[in-house]
Formats: sequence, C-alpha cells, structure tokens
Amino acid sequence: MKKYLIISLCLVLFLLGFSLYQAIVFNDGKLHVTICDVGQGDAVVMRTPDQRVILFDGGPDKKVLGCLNRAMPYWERHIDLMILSHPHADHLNGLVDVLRVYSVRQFATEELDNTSDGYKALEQAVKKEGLVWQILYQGDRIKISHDISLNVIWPTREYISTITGDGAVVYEEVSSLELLLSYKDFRLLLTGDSQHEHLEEALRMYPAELSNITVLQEPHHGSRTGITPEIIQAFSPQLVTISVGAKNTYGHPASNVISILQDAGVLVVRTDKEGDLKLITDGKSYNLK
Amino acid sequence: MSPRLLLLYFVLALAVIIRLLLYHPTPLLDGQLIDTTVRLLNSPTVNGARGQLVVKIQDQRVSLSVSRFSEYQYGDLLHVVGSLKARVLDDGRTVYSIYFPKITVVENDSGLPFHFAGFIRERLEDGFGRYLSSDQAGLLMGIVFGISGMLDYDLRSQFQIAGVTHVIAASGMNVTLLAAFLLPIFLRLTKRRDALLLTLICLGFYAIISGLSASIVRAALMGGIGLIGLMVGRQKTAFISFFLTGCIMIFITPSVIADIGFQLSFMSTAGMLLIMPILPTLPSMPVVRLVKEDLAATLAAQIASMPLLLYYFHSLGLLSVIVNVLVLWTIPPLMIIGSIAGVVAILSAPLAGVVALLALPLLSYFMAVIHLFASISPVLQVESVPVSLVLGYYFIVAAVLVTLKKRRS
Repeated sequence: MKKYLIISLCLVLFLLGFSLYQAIVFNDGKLHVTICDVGQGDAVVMRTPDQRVILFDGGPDKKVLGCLNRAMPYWERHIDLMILSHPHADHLNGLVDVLRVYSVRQFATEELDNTSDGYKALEQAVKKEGLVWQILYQGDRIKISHDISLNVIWPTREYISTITGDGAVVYEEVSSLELLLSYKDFRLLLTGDSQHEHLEEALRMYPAELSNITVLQEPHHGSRTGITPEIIQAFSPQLVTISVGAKNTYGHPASNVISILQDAGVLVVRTDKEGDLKLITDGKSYNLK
Repeated sequence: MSPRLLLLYFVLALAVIIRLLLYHPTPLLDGQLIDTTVRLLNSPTVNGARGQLVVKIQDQRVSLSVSRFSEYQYGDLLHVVGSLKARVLDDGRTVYSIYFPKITVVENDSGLPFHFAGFIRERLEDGFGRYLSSDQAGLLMGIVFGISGMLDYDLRSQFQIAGVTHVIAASGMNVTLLAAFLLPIFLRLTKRRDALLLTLICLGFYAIISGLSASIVRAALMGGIGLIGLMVGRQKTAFISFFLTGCIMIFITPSVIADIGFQLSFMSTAGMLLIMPILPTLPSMPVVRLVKEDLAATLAAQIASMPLLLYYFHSLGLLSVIVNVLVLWTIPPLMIIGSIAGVVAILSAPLAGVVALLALPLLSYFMAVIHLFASISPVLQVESVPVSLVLGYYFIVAAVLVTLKKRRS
C-alpha cells in the first residue's frame, strides 16, 4: 500500500510540475503559430495571447491531433475557429478527427464542394456539432482579438461563380482560400493550395497589405505553379514555410520553386526536414523554433 | 514428473491431435461471393487513407476494406456482402480480404455483454482522450486492453522496430496483473471463494472488452483455470494450466493454431515458464534488482518467440531487450491506473479522464523511449525463413532445456 502511495505521489508531483511548465510556456502573452508536420498535407494552428485557437486545414489524417496537442496546453480542448482552405483530402480529412476530439466553436470554408467520402464525413461532423457552415469570400474580415485579425484575400464571389457555373463544380479548377493573419507588425499569409494567378490577383487588390509580409506559407506544398519571382519580390517575405511530406510522390517542392526562393535570398524552412515549425511573436519580432 | 501427470499430458496432446486430424473446414475460395452476418470483435483501424475491419468468416480472418470515415463499433453485428479475394503470401499462408464490401449494421441485436462492453469501450476512448494526446490515449488503451486500433499506423511500426508490440497487444501479462490487483481487493471485502469468483467474472468481462482475441482468451482461460484451481483448493500449477488452456482453445476452434497472435503468445508464455527459471541469475545489486525480472522475462520470451517473429515479420529489432527493460516497469502502474479509469468510466467519462491523467508522466516517458529506439535501433532483416529452420531451432532449444534440467536434478 505504501508503495502505491509513493508512486501516486510522484506521479501527481510530476503532473503538477508539467502543468505549471505548460501554463508558463503557452501563456507568455505572445501569438504562437505552429505549422504542423502532417506529412504530405497542410495544417496550421494559431493560438493568440488571449487563448483563442484557430486551425487552418487538418492534414490528411490523425497526425493533426498530435500537432494540436503540441501546440496547446494539454488541458485545452477547444478550437474557436476551424477553417478549411479547399475541399481536398490532404487538407480536409484530419478535420473530421479533430471534430471528434475537440470542441469546435465556428467553422468556415470557401464555396466549393466535393463528392469524396471525407467531404461528406466533414459535412456530417460539422452538422453533428451544431455548427453553421460559413462561406468566406474576398473582403471578409474576421476579428480574432482586439489586435489580431484574419483577412480573406481570395477567392472573389465572381471567380467562384465562374468556376461553378450553374452551381455544378468543375473539379479541374483549383481554388483555395488565401488568408492574411495580422498581429501588429507581424503578417502571415496562409495560402493552402493556391495558384500563382490567384495570388497575383489578390496582390492587385491589396498591394499595400501584401507587400513586406513577415511569413509566407508556400502555396500547394511547393508545387511548381505556386509562385513566380515577381510574386516573391512583391511579398518580400522574411521567411517561407513549406508543408510537405518526405519522399512524396508529387516531387514537391518543385526545383523551380526552390531556386526562385534561393535567388530571392529568403530563409526557407520545411516540415519534412524540421518537423513542426513553431513561430512565436509579440507582433514586432518573431522566433522560429 | 509423476507418471500420472505425464499420462495427463499425453492424453491431452492426443486429444488435440485427433481433433486437428478430424478438422476439415469448408475452404474459402478466391472470387467466392460472401453473404453473411458476422460480429465485429476488433476496433476498425485506419492505415493511411483506408479503414480496415477484421472479421471471422468460416473460422478464417477476413479483412474488409472500408472508408476511413466509417463508424462501425465494437460488437456490431454486420451483414457483409462482397466478393472474396484470397492471396497466398511468401510464407505459404493465405490471407483473405473483401474490397469495399456492402455492409449493413443489423440493428438491435448486439447482445447484452457486447453491448455493455461496447459502451465501456466508447466511454474509455472518450475519457482517456480528454486530457491525454491521441497517441497517449491510444497507447494506454493498448496497454490496458490490448486495443491498438486507436494508435497511429506510423506509431505502430515504431513499436515493431523497438520490439515492444507485445505491450500493446492483449496478453497474459495483462490478465495476470489484473488478477493480481483485483484478488487482494476482493479478499478484503468478501470470503475467499466469492473473491475468486468475482475475480473470475472480471477476467471474463475484461476478455470481452479486449475483443476476445486469441491471446487474451488464452490468458484469461489460463488465469481462470488457475483461479478455479485455487477455489477447489488445489495448488496453482502454472504449466499445467497453460498447457490445458492451449489444448482447450485448439479443441474448441482448431483454426486458432494458425493465428500468429496465438502462436506468439503461446511460445512467449512457454518461454517464460520453461526458460526463465534456468537463465543464469544476475548478482543482486540495487539497480540490477529493479530490472532483473523484466530482463529475464524478456530474454526468455525473446528466445522462445524469435524464430516466429522472423518467420512472419521478416525483421527483428536488435535492441528490443534493452527497450523492454526500459519500459516494462511502467506497465503495472499503467494497468492499475487504466483499470481504475475503466471502472470510473462506467460512471462518468470526464472523471475517468482525470484518473487517466495520472498516467501522463509514464506515457510520455514510454513514448520518448520508443521514439528514441525506433530511430537508432539496428534491425535484422531477412528475406524468408524456411519452416525447417524454425522447427530445428525449437528442437535445439528443447534439447538444451532437457539436458540442463537433467544436469540440475
């Protein structure tokens, strides 16, 4: 009996220490952005200084749950806003697993659907949680905290109506939400599976907001149609992150993308090499871990 | 060994052999149309983009590929229609699968024990997952109930490289630990006979929650026979109950003899019962004393199961003994915390979550060891192992055992 008591006491003490450690590390008054290593896919967790959590995409499977666990204190199980950039499996499927474990308060995506199993499962899971399926368009602005906001810079209503035509989706057309997260001077551009044409159009619409951004999420896992030298010149990001799986069958990231980034002299970090990428910022400068 | 005991072994072995000779199952054929109703006794697993259910059709394991988003539950009675695919592996075994069969859940027929076990499983998954990460919760489910369905596919392969897959499979260790934990508690509360009976009921129920896999049934039966032995006043003799269990299982379902889990668990237990006592004892230094038993048990189980592991999986993590010594001590406390959380889960999932939180330090440690060793452990890879080599190996081990035993006596 005495042995059990000692072991329990040790476990409780360790647990208290661990909880205290997490409480201090996560509540440092800064914005924590985690670009998740979910293999070939995308998932980004953002946790604000006032403990609001935004999840942008969920990756292809359950791996996103591990990333969420690393991106938040273990006792927090809520997500204030879950966003799906576009309805493809490598961005969508993990969200179904997230909805099983986390209590999600709002859900938003673009106006494109899919006939896949995963899409149907997500529709059901969102409905089961009693959430409204919200649609985002260019110009929408989501205020997360008093100095943190998300601006939707793509797609436009017009573009969506041209590719969906009479309501039916043309699947060959790829469109993805593009969101600009702003926190004081820190600006993170989330691109999902964007194409460079759409980034160029967004750039025409918001030239001031999109110049000199802090961090760019490289579009479409570094696919060759994601960026051009001109785009990188206009954005002039300090850091580019690439969410990509090791030895993926698509050959991502493409060599032309790597050389564009090298020529521009931008610091590039990749999830297949570094695992989760953690950015911690006070809105002025940032740390990469 | 007394002549009476020897005769008993002989009769049992003979009975099993006759049963096997008379066993002629209707074979499953490639392309055969399957239209049957089966009970789901495994949690669905997800491998990459596809989900998988394993069911028994005509005594054979058949894997059904399903959408990874399907929501089948343990204990569901399923009506399965589809075309069977039979594939012969390099080692001669035939594996059966049905590619995306038409499955309908037969409503309201889950049977009370399965219904209740399914309810507890759901509550447990909910409770364990409240504060633990999904990997940690999956590991705890694996350790306590041998349910590895919640574990990520990548993580399961890391377990295999590190050589600790047996920890997340329901095995004799779980049952022994459970009985050793429950019996003293019941003994304090009630009479000896009732306490044994209560423990027996708990073991049976535990086997159902765990999914009635071959190795857990073996262990529960073995524990049960031992307990019945105690109830009727006979001294518990480990080996005879072990042997009897094996015989009973083969007698009831002869196909179990081809089940990898059964073979592995049978051989490891035999190793622990027969080889462990003759291993050279280590000097009794303070640190050594802590790991001595784990080390001896792991070594004995490894010696007995190594050829089977190589034969079926073609690979063997070479540092598995070290990994086992590093992690095995966490199993008893994790079993206890998990079992208590299991009982609490019947009342409330959130409360079970709080209890399971105590396991967090141990699970983090366990996970860290596995991650480390999965990345640095050298792995022995073989193309194929001939059956004759496996049999020859066991023959040599048996010969060494007999010689050593003779010399000692």
